[in-house]
Amino acid sequence: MTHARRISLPLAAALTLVAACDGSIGTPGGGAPDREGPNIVGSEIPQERPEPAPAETVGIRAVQSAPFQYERAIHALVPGAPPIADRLWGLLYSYRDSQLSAPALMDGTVFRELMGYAAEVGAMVAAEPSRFGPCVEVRVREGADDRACVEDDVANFLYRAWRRPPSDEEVGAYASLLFDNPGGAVAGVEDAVQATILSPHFVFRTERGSGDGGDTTLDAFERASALAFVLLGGPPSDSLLERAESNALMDEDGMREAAEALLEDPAHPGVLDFVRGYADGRAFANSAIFDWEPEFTDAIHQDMIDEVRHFTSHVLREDDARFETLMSAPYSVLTPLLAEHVYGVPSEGEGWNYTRLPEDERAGLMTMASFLASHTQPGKSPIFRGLFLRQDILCDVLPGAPNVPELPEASEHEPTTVRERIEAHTSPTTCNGCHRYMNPLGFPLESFDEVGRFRSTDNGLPIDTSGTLLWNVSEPWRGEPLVFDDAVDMARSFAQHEAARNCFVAKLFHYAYGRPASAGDEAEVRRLEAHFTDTDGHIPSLVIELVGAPHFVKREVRANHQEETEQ
Amino acid sequence: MKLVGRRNFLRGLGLGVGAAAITPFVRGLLQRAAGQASTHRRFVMMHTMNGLGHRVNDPVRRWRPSGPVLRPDTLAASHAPLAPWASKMLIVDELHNPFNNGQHGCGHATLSVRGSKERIGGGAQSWDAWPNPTGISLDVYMGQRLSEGQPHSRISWFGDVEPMSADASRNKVSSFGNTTTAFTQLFGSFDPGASDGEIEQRMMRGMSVLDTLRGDLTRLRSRLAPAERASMDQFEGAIRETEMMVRGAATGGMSCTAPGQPAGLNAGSHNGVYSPEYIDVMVQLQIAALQCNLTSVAIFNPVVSRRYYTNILGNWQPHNLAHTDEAAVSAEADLVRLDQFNASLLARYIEGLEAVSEDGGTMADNTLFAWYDRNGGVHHSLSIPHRHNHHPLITIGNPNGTYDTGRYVNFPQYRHCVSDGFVSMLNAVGIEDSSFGDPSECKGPLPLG
Repeated sequence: MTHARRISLPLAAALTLVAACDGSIGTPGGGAPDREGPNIVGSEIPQERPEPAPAETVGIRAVQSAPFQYERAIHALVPGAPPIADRLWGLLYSYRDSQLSAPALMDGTVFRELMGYAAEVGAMVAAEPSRFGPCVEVRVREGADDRACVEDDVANFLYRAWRRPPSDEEVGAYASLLFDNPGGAVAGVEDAVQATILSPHFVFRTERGSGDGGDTTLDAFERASALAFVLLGGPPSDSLLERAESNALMDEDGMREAAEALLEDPAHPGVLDFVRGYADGRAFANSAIFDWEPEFTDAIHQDMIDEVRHFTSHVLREDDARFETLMSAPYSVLTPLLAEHVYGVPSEGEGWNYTRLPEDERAGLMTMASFLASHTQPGKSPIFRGLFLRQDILCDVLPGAPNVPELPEASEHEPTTVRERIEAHTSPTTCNGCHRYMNPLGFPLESFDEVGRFRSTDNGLPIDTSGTLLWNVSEPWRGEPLVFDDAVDMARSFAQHEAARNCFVAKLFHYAYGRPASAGDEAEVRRLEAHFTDTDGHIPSLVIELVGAPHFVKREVRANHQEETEQ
Repeated sequence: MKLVGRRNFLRGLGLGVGAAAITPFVRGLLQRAAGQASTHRRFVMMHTMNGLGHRVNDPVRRWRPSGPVLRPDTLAASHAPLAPWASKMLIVDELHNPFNNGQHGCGHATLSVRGSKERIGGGAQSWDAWPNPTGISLDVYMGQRLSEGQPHSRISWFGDVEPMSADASRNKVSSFGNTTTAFTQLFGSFDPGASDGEIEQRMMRGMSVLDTLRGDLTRLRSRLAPAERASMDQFEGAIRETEMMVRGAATGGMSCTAPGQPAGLNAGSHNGVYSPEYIDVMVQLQIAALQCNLTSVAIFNPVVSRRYYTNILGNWQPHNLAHTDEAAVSAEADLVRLDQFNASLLARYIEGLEAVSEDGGTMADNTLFAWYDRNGGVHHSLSIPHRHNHHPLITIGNPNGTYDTGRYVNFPQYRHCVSDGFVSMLNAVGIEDSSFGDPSECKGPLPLG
């Protein structure tokens, strides 16, 4: 049994207001707060919050938030909350987990560290209890004990945190932390906040949908969350929740309209988070490569990390926003440090500046320093860079590697290039059966050193930058091999190639859905691929097409239910 | 060191969960006081990496002893800090890792040999086996078997930026990478002024929060599609583990010898400020945790970044040195210094546990210490790619007496898998397993007589 509660929107605006108004929220001067909702000055629109989903719903799905989404969700709930410390980022972001997939690390150490962090946030709210709710504030400051009123605050707080209406049972459990707390009212606020942001409902984005046993579709709030986590990299904004409240997201046009609005707003990250993950930039952030390049300062390292974002932003918002441009643009957006120390070009001034790059050296994302450094392995970069291009830019699955036999312990008496050594070592048939699909894609990138600086020699010898794209023989016939003169030639070729374009679609699908495409998604993926081709690789159009599709809000529950009952 | 009473409450979780440290130690104290024979076994492993393969420059006997019998005068230069325990040492050589096609993934391969022929999602081993764990790692498995009832199944600090350990579900398991985190989670912030009532109150609050979370998780999990439930397993384990810690604290009531806040606690994390102070604090905390019976398994890896080498050895490019081949004898002195530094860290653990009496002897008598170089012999030479063969393994101590010590055993190449060595170590601490990892590759314990 549930009962409707009153809720106030827009929430984010209300939160900001609460934070800024220094206790002027609620019912100053005592007295019970208005049960119809907190007395928020401004554009507050009290509305009836929807009933929670029925408890018998099965097949619920949980999408783990990436750490940056988790942090943004906390900051949206408690503006001014401390940033997640580096140590927690390190724990949460298990090494080399792409931003396209969520980290799978919530062991005891991480949990307790998060618990400590959540306690800090809880103490922050408890020091200013109006941030939890007006009734809670009255309870803390004046000892008022109106349980129903406080439960409304709890419901509102959980709603903001979990992005869905909580059940009565959930409200009761969290209200108990406030009312039955042996530490008193302030401790109750601390503990309720701590538990709220540690809850799996906060750490995970849950999707129950609505339906009657068959496939279901996401409800309005789940649609807002799904959109937000794709285009805001965090929880829904107040405008999105307003759209959800007014049922404006319940049809395709509404979803498209909301997505367009988010993409057009430069304040929002849009698909920048996705592209950063697509380029595996976070792995670069953790890369140990700079341990081997001590002349590279932390400032340069940071600029390299940020370059992907600035470059992508320029392509999407100031250039033509096409995939081909992302992958082959003869420019980047650089700081003086990057221009001088990495790219070897004149600086265009302080800060981040559009900078033309030598067209025979650089072309788009694949020749960007951070991209190159992300996939470096000293002495073996062609293999690892080639492997990444094969698997993550072309989405081509390679057969499993055999149990590689020991290689002879050769001793170098004459200088050789990395390419020569790798070619020699991987020439046996057992090796080359797999390496021929990756090494020749990495060889053109040998014109860049381990940290992405252009070079023309390796170990004092000229570099052979030619490369080849052999199609995997286990795949359907996809044409003759492609031959490249150098990295720029390869980048331009990829930028126009259907395989790379379709792979981009697959990666975006994975990011948006929180899982890779499965057999049931094939028709939708093919449709998106066709759309991307028809629009000449226009990225914003692809995003809108993806989130505006009925498929985006549909969840197959029946299969899950059946599987569950068979256990 | 100072006594940390029950009032020295820990607030690491905002609640003082770290006070759980007290109870197991109390149990241990009582057990010792009653003169009961302890079957408690411990495992401490130093896990080194990044190119310090033992065969590099070995013609000058950096690593290999001069004879089959280990005495202080037969140990190689690198092992000099371990000379006091030469008669308790076992050095085995030429273990091989069949899963050697990874890069630095050898860390996973060597620690996670159990089941490592599987790739994520099933099938043959693949390139994508790295960096994804391929099975339960040795330290996690040891922790499950040896640390039952203790607040931490294992305690680790690693220089790695990536988790090297994994559980049976192939979830990565984190390590302490930050001194403050480690101290807070192990021993917390002292609050000597807290009354018994305040302590009880904090514990009740902690349990209430955890009960609430468990309720959320239970409700959510029961309604998840089966395929989604696995993602909750580790979360549930984390809550369960923390509940146990809080409950332990709630039923405690005596004291534990624990470190005061160590000097240099703010040494920070390995990532950026890696320093001798960082290493020193981590070593102190881990030894104290063992002394307090917070866990029975400790693993650490002191090597990670250029700062480590620079701080230990001066301005030096470690990775380049790691790539030197046997002709580069000029690197020998630096390599020996680095090995000796690592050996001295392990010696501190031995000394730390020798300082605590147990069962008529010391804690060290019930502990197996090990030093494992995950990179093997020649993997980092300039001319050859990374490989993970010719592994050395050093153990010190022999709690269950399963093999003779004071020996150097040089096995024929490619005959015994690294995880055969792991099985021998499991047996040495009383875990009677006969295999670890893929049984088609790893046949069982080493034939050590």
